[in-house]
Parts: sequence; structure tokens; C-alpha cells
Amino acid sequence: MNNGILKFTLLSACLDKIKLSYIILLGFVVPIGMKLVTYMHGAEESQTFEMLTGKVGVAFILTGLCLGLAGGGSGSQTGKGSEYLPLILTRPITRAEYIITKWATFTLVGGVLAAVQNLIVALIGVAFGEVLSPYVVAGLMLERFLDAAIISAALTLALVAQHWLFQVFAIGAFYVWMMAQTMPPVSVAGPSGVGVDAVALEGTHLMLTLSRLVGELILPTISVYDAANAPNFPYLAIVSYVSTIVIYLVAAIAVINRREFFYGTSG
Amino acid sequence: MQSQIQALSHATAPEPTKCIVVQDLVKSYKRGRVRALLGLSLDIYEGEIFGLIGPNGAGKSTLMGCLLGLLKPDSGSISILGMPPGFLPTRRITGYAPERPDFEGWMTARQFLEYHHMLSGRDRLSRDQEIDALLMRVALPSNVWHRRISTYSRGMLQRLNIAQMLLGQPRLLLLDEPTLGLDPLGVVQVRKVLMGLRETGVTAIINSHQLDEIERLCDRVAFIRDGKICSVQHLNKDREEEYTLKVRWNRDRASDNVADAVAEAAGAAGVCLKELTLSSASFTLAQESAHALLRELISRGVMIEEAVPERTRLEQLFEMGGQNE
Repeated sequence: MNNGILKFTLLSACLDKIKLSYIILLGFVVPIGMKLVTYMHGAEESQTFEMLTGKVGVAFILTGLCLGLAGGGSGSQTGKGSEYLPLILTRPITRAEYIITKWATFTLVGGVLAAVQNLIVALIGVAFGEVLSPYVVAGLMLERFLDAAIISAALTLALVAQHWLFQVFAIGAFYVWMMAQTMPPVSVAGPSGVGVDAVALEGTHLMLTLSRLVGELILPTISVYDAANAPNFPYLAIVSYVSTIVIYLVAAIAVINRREFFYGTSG
Repeated sequence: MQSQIQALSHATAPEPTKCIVVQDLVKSYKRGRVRALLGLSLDIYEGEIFGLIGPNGAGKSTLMGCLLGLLKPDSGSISILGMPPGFLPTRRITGYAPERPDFEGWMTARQFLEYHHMLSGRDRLSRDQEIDALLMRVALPSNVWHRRISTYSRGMLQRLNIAQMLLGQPRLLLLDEPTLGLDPLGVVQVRKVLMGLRETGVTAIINSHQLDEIERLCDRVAFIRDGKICSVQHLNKDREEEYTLKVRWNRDRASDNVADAVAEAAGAAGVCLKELTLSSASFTLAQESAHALLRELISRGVMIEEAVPERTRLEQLFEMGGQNE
């Protein structure tokens, strides 16, 4: 861990106006506004609200935080005011140290922001008469930290591995994962149709199943509440979760160690 | 007796220590389709300011990238004070100033230097003092130290770039176009910083297209073309060598026999007349002959309006594609 990277990544989240506006809007203004509207005007909690206060919300916050790590690409010197990696990597720090510190900082910031957001939303709920035990709220907050750890590991890898094939795969996988998170249950509920309706329904079933499988494969997460109430200790879920993080980080370190940074004119 | 002393002094004269040894460096891109360095070899001595010149795409930036450990050569070797590039102890003694300082815009100059001070693993207690000293050394006005980098002019950015390079008192400096975008005062400031560092024994490599700056600052310069070193010039020594002086006179006020007078003056001053027109002449001469030539021309009634070196030695070298005469 490098204190300099830790401190200035934290500062970057607080002082970079673009990042700050993005995080405040998507992380706090929109979900808290939605929650207030739900209680004040009697509207039902929307799927978007569920998204923004869950894993997808963590992913949005982390995407905002990670903006800038992508600067200083290997092809050209296109820092444009973001982090200029070649210069940082000429300092006496190992590339592994850089990756691990970035990941830890993103996890910390993303986890704290998402946990605070969940806490605020829960407190608003309690203020409007919702019954929530501290145990459940603590479980939700811990879950956001766990989400932040795995999503930031995946994002770190996606930002340093710039091969176009990997980028296509990563973007595709992210959208499939998003689909699994955002598709409302009502899409596949109800009686089976006939003809075109049946095909559409089966297609949706298939898509949803596939996206859930892909989601579990690329971003396996742990439901803290379910794990705590499970009759047996969820070894498999934990091993799957931890090993995925380790794979992403090892891959990110391997990629950055192999990566070259050419800063001159091309050709 | 004198010859014995000379022989003894030759025998005991210390060999200059090599700071950088590059041997048969080969580097290609796109799976070998673009060949940037083709067996480049080079020795750079400690305390030397060394220039790299050459046309675009010659391999200068690739060489700098390899020296910084940012690029991995296909074959060959680089040794920096006995260590490989990219090795952590090597990076501790290396300072690097990139060509385009697109630094983190949200930071202030002080924060930026603090960040790089921390990355360099320097003593925390000396941080503020060291940063202030560096900002003053590069003459960045103190009223902008706490301003966001995104509001800086190109000149201010370049000064900050030089300041970050000097963090940690490096023994080896790698500079990419260090005076690009600087106002004349900034150029003088960078020159002063580098000349000051020379006295402390720091080795510097400057990659630049600003040939006059290279000529002023560097002890030696390598001309790189097509991934190879075409020639290495000793600039200080070369100052004694010949160059071209172009002399112009007022055509209307010149006498009819001006051509004869110019030819005679060249002969009397012992310089070579290269080219003669109705209003100008080019001479090839040694530095110390310029005065004699001008005196001879004036004494023969040539109404001189200007006398300028036609181009610098490095420009000549560039024009000749790096080949020595």
C-alpha cells in the first residue's frame, strides 16, 4: 500500500468537480429524492431506486471514482488533466503496489459512500414509519462494502487491460450483468402465453437466466442477510467471491507489469 | 622530464565513469512490423549533459522509454549506474520530465509535488521545505502555487514539470523537450537549472528538436536516425571547428570591384569563400577567424550590413542526416 496514492485518490474523489458531481447526483440526490417521493407522494418504490441503492449503485459510484485511472494510456499521452500513469510508474513504486492501493482506495471510498447512502435511505424509511432492525441495516451496509471490493477489482482490471478484445468482452459482460440486476421480476411473471407471446416469454426467461449466470460468474456477491441466516456457513459463496477478487487483482497486476507505455509520436 | 610527467599524468588520469551503457538495443512494435531501434549502442558518462536529436520517428522517444523502464527492449541491454532500468533503486535516482505535462488538473502545484514526493518515498519531514525550494528554483510565481493546475499556462506547467523532475535530488535526468512552450525567461531559467545541476555531477539526457538549446546545454549529442546512432558529436570540442558565416552588404553602395575585394579579404584572413553574390558572401571559417575576416572586408571598403552564422552546427548535422563531414 502506498500512502501517496491512497491520499491523492481520496482527494481526487473529493476535489475533482466532475467526479464529485457524478457521485453526488447518482449516489445520493437521485436515490434519496426517489425515497422521499415514495413517502411524501405515495409513489411505489421503482426498480431504478432498487438499482441505485444496490450493487448497480455501487458500480455507478465506482465508475465515477475510476474516471482518471484510464488517463495516460499506452498509445498516447492523453492525460487531459487525469492521472498520467507513465510518470507515476517512473517513481520508485511497484506496479503491484499501485494496483493494490488503487483497488483498496476505490473499495474504501465506494464502500463508504454506498454504505452511507444505504444508511440515509434506511433512516428516511424509519422516519416515515418503516420498521427496520439495525441488524438488517448493518447487513446492507456491509454488503455494499463487499460489492465495492469486487466491482472495483473488476474495474481496475478493465481500466489497465486495454486490449480491444478484452474491452469488448468487459463491456459486454458488464451490460449482461446490469441486465440481470435491472430486469424487473414482472417481465417473466404471469401465465404462459401462446404463439409469439410464448416465444417472447421464453426468450426473456432465457436471457434472464443467462444474464444471472454471467453475473454470478463475473461478479459473485454475497448477500449478508441470507448468509447470516443460512443453516450452513456459505463456504462456496465466500470462496467464489474471494477467488474472483484475487483473480481480477492478479490479472490486473500481470497486465500492468506486461504493459508498455509509449509516449512519443506513433509510427 | 616534461614528457615523463605528461606520460605519468596520462597513465593516472581517471577514466570517466559510465553512467549509462546501452548495448545493441533492439525494439520493435506491432509484433516486429514497426522497428524503432535497430541495435543501438551508446555510452553516457557521469556528469555529462547528453543530447538526442534526429527526425521524427527516429527512435529517440523509444530510447527514452527504454531508459525509463516504460518500454521493454526486444534484445540488447541497458545499464544505469550498473543497474537495469525500471529497477526500484534506479527509479530512486532518476528524474523524468515528460514532453507534454498533462498533469492532474484538479491538483494545485503544491499538491502535485507533494503527491510525487510521497511516491518517491522521500522523508516526510523535509517535504514542505523541499517543495518550496523546488518551486522557487524553477521560478514558478508563489501566487499560483495554490492554484489548480488546470488553470496553468503552458510555461507554468513546464516549470512544474521541471520541479517534479528534480524531486529527490536525482542523479540522472531524462528530459523530453524541456524548453518547449516556455517564454524566453523560462528558457533561461531551465538553462540555469541544468547548468547548475551540471556542477553537482548530475547526468542529463535531453531529447529535443530545439537544436540551439541542445547546442548550448549539451556536452555531447547523438544524432539518431532509423533506430541507429549515426554520429556522436562533442559539442564543446566542436566549437573550435569550422562553421559558415554569411556576410551581407548594401548592394547600392557597393563598389564595382566588390567581388574582388571580398575574394582578397577571404584570402588575407585565411578563410574559404564558399559563395559570392552581388550583395552577400558565405565563408567557411574557424571561430577565431571571423574577426580577421570582418576587419579585412571593412578595410577593403565593403559596407557590411550584417554578418550571421548561416546555421548552427547541429542544423548542419541535421541537414546532412547525421553524417560527419
